[in-house]
Amino acid sequence: MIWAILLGATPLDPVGAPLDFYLTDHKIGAVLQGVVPGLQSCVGGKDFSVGVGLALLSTGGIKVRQIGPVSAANRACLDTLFSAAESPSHHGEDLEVETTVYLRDGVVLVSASPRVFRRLVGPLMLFVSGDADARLRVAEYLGGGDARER
Amino acid sequence: MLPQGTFWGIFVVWLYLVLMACSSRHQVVDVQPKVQRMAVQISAIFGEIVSPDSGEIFQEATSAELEMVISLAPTRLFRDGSEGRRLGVERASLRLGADGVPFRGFSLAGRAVELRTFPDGEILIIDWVETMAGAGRFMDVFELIFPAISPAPPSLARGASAPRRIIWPYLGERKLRWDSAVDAVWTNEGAEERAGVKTWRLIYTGPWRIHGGRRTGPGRIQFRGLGKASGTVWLDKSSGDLSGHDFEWSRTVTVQGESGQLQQVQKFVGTVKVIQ
Repeated sequence: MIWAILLGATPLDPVGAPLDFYLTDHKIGAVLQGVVPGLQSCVGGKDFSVGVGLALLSTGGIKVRQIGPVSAANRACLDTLFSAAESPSHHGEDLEVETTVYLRDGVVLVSASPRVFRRLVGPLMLFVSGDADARLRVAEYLGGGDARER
Repeated sequence: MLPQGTFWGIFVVWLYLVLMACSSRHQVVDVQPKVQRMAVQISAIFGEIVSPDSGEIFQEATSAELEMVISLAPTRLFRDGSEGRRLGVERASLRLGADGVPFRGFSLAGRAVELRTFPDGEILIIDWVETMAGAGRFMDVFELIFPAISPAPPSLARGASAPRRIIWPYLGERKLRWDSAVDAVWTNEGAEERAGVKTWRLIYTGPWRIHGGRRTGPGRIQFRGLGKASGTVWLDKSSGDLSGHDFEWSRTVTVQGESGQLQQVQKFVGTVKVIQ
């Protein structure tokens, strides 16, 4: 009996996970966390929080879009480190991401919940040639479900 | 009740099986690259989308011309004998209306999905399909491209006919799924030489049905479709690979959301040509 229960819980077909064609949220988090060790040796001084806007390029690598108010030295450091950080190439468009870098008691952290800008996908199966507002009107009429799929 | 030692023994074996099952997540067998390139052209006519309550027109009736060049490259072989192929969009353009106004922001070129099929072409899964769907990409609407390039006809003697379904799923995020099926009856019309290539010419026709959606949670939605499909497929006599496909498919799509329902009539006439 217990064998049947335990074997029933065994993954039957683990092969076939999607290939890494696009950046998932997990992968985006890993890219951002990969920058943390470098930041540690770079920033100093008083505690601060600063917003950072980045583009994870489809060709690989990161382009810094904007860095919030911070000292010139810290700005240069953040710019250099993020620009030099590794991010894999992918089949999507350049992916815009916003995150926050924190310095607390000499320890640097990057937000675990970056804001990822994804396109509006819905409404699906209906050809709507208008702009985002036209698509949003259709999605909202249907019930808003697709409108949340950004 | 099992003795504690026996229970832990079984548990350790079970844990080992689980970990072993999770160990090889990626490709099962390396495959040699054999890249195919295809030109796809589709002329579509879309009916208007009107609110049944207020009569508000969300979308005027329109037409569209889609042209694509795609590549198909093997990625991996699976244990069940199916194979993965990377379907990449090299070029794509969409023109709207009788004047053929280019659709601004069409961003299909550069995108890729993985098409997992059995060796006969039957589609099992289209991984990452949502990245080609929706605004600016529209492969949820032009989804017949997938069976158009991988139609999976039955093996037939000259002059013979047999039924065989053309099926493919759309698997999106958060348990969104719909299944499409054409209950096609196929006929082998015999040999034909096209552009110097000896081919088998097969025709098919049948009803096209779609059903699915997201049954639970926020964003519940239901998709239904009913229509018909017909076409001519040419298979290379020497390799059995697809050589060309002319098709004419149409359907009425009904989308039922949590607060409203909309319909659209969609007609597609298209061709697939293998160019390399």
